[in-house]
Amino acid sequence: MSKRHLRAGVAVIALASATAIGVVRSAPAQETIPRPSLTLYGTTGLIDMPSAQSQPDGQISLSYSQFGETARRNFTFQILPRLSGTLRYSSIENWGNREDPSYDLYDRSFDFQFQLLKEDRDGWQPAVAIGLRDFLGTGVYSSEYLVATKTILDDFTVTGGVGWGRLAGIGAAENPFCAISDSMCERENDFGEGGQPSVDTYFRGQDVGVFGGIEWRATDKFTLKAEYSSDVYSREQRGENAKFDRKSPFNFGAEYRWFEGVTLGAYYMYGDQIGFNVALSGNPNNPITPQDLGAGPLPINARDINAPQGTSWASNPAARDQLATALAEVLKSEGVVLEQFASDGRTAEVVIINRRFNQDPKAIGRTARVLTVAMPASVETFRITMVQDQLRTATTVISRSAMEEQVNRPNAGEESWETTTFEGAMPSLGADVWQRDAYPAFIWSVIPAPYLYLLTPDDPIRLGLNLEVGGTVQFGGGLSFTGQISQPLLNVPKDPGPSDSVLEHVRSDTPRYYADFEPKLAQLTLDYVTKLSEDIYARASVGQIERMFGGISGEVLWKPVEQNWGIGLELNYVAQRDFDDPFGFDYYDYQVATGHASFYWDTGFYGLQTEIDAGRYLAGDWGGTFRLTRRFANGWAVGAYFTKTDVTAEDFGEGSFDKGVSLEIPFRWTVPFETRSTNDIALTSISRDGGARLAVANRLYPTVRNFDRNWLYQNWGSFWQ
Amino acid sequence: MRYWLAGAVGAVFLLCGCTNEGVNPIFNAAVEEVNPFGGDEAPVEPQQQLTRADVTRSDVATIRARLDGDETATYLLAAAKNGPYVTYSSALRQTITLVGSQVTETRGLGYDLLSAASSQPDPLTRPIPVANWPAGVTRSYEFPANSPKGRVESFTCRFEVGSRKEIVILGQRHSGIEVSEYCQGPTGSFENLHFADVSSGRVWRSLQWTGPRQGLVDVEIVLPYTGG
Repeated sequence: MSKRHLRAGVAVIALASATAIGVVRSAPAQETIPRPSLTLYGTTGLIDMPSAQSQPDGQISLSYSQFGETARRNFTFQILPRLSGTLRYSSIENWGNREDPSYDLYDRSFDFQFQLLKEDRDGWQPAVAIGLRDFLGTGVYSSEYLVATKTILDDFTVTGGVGWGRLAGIGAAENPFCAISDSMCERENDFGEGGQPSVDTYFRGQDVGVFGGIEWRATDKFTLKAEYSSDVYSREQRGENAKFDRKSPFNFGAEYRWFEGVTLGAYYMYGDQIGFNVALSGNPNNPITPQDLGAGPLPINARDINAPQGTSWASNPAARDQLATALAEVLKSEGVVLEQFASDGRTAEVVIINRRFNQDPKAIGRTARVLTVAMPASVETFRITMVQDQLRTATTVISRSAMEEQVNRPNAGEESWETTTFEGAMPSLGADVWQRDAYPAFIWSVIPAPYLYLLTPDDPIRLGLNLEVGGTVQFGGGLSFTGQISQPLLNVPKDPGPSDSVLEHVRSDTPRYYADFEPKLAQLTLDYVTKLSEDIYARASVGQIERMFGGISGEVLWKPVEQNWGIGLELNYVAQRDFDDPFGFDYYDYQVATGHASFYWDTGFYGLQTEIDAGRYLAGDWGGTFRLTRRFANGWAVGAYFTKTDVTAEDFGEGSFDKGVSLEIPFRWTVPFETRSTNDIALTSISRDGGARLAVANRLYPTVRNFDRNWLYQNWGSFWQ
Repeated sequence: MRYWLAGAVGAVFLLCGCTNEGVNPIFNAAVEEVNPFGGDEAPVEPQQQLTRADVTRSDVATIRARLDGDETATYLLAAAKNGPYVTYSSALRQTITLVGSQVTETRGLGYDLLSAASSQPDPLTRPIPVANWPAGVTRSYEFPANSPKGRVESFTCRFEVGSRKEIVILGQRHSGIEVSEYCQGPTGSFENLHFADVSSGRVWRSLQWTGPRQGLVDVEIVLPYTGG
């Protein structure tokens, strides 16, 4: 038999053959625990009552439930394995008040639940959790609970708990905390504008209620539930026109898992109403399509030990340019743009733009593999610098010999991490460099941009769609000119007129800037980004910076690659734009100097990243913003923030202070091919004027945060993919 | 088929928009599929069926592979060799790496298997006459995770020799014996199936587990790698 070696070149012999296989057998099996179900509040639990179970880490659920005159829209996130949070937006018809018996209540509420004990599924220990419901809102659903849940015979769960506040509607016993202090027996449920933590009410009240229920997972798709609810819904029945008439504390329900991630439920509620629930669930850690479909990486062959080691080619500009041009072509097929190339014969220095891969280490790995094929044997070190939005970020230094030793071997990811180093990219490569001949470059985009407003006065929920047409001319060297026009398409509101805010209307007039069908100039700026040193980035922008403000903006960021924290400083001088004139500044006649010092810290704990901003906001108020975001390696991000400034709760209006939740979903998660697009969703509260910050499109930290050692570590698994 | 694909492409456009900054090749391929102007292109010659003579003439180590559930198998040609690892690549650059007949890596098939290793002696990695096969082996598999180190799953496997059979791989008849391999581990269980030459122990065909989501891959050795 002749020695058969490797295929030469890329010639394809043939594909396909529908040969019948005679040896197919069953195979894969992985045991999984069914995901717990959700309540009509969107939290983990029975029907209206919570349970002590937790969703899988990172699980995100969106649900809509309705029974009688109550409708709830819930967003629930399993923040950490034991901690979950829920943002809820409820509407209750015929809530009634003194002026208007038919008044419908629109209410925002937040919940937290912490699992104190995990269930021992083989033993007796139940799961035990403590929870706060509506701990920050206006108190409509304000309650606290301690609950235990035990699974029996795999398919059957039993839940029992004690509740305070609303969950003590049917008082079962005196509040045991009354023994500590008489004040623990008192509970006030009027929280004014809402939005303030109602700490002085937690676990208080004359009585505690007892609730419980059972859940039977009859089949993989079908679940039956029954519960005893300690909530008497007294306020819902008090309105003059209220139709809800609670007759029983018992609720019954049946749920059907239509397909993975979609559950439908029907319920008989309180002996009076039929209810339903639609829940959509997903998990950042479980993409809905195969993530590794498509062209694999280039196979690597180790260099021949006798390969020539000469470096004279590197000092020949023609040879270098020829090599760089060929390299650029191959990298282009990988979705990587070669910006610059330089080599001294021993080291290959490449500056690249990742246009395809959701995870940057994958682009680094693919580039390194191409270099192993393309570079002469004398090249031992690869220095790969990533460019993001024209900014040179981090340089990854890879030993070619180490790659050749590690490829194909078990644990190659960890070993490659240990032999790879990272540096802040230098501002330039020097003079003797091959440079892509691409500038000025024009980049355009047409992007449908859905938006969601919640709790805008007189328009509580608005989902709309704009078409955003954008264009950028990159002049090279970090200088660019960007324009973006937004064309309202669907559900376009009319101009609601000025808001009633007592502050400058820096955000409360936001709906006016989205009103009517005329195209809106969302951005028109001249921008310059650069690196001042290995660790310092800078940005300057001038023009119509955002939909509501134009002016000048400058920013400096110190963020070494090896460090998991950074400091930024931003200063802006802006004027409020007219809502009906793309270049006008006359209507509001308002100018303000605004800016912040920012501290960024990637905790390294479950992907939690924090940002603290302190400074002056658009309305001239002084204060700070705290933002906590959990970022997943695949690009999912769920964050929450709050801003406290010297604006009083009364002046701020409903909500008392600015706060919100944001969600970033990488498009890659939903499709079986590589893309860097993301869908950003902001679940913000009412647009008020206090604590409002200038919306700058190209802030520095979001541009460079994916290129520090900490973040690259979490994604390094994709280096060999 | 074009209607649903057109709908899918439309939905993709609707959701992700479009830009001149590089849409990925699969997306481009999908667009090409529904491109109403594509009809003017010259008709494509029907694809020629690969024959044993073609493979013999090329003298390039070749395997044929198919994911369990897929209707068609794909030919992959040896493209790289590192120590005992031989990486085979398809025309679409999906790759499978083998040590002997053991699948140690897959790329681009859906859910990557980063690496695999086994205790020695393992008759998959080095042929052993079937009569001398060990009672079992331990196998570990590494899958992508959110850290440099992959998620590793380990299994204890035992072999069970079955009946003698004959199979044909691209026109070449092989006589041998079926050997089942039952694997059990903390995360679950699976079953591999091998067809081996009785005397040499070379595994000519094998259904091997490549992960909890990707399942089994059916690998046939069309022309074995015999290089150094």
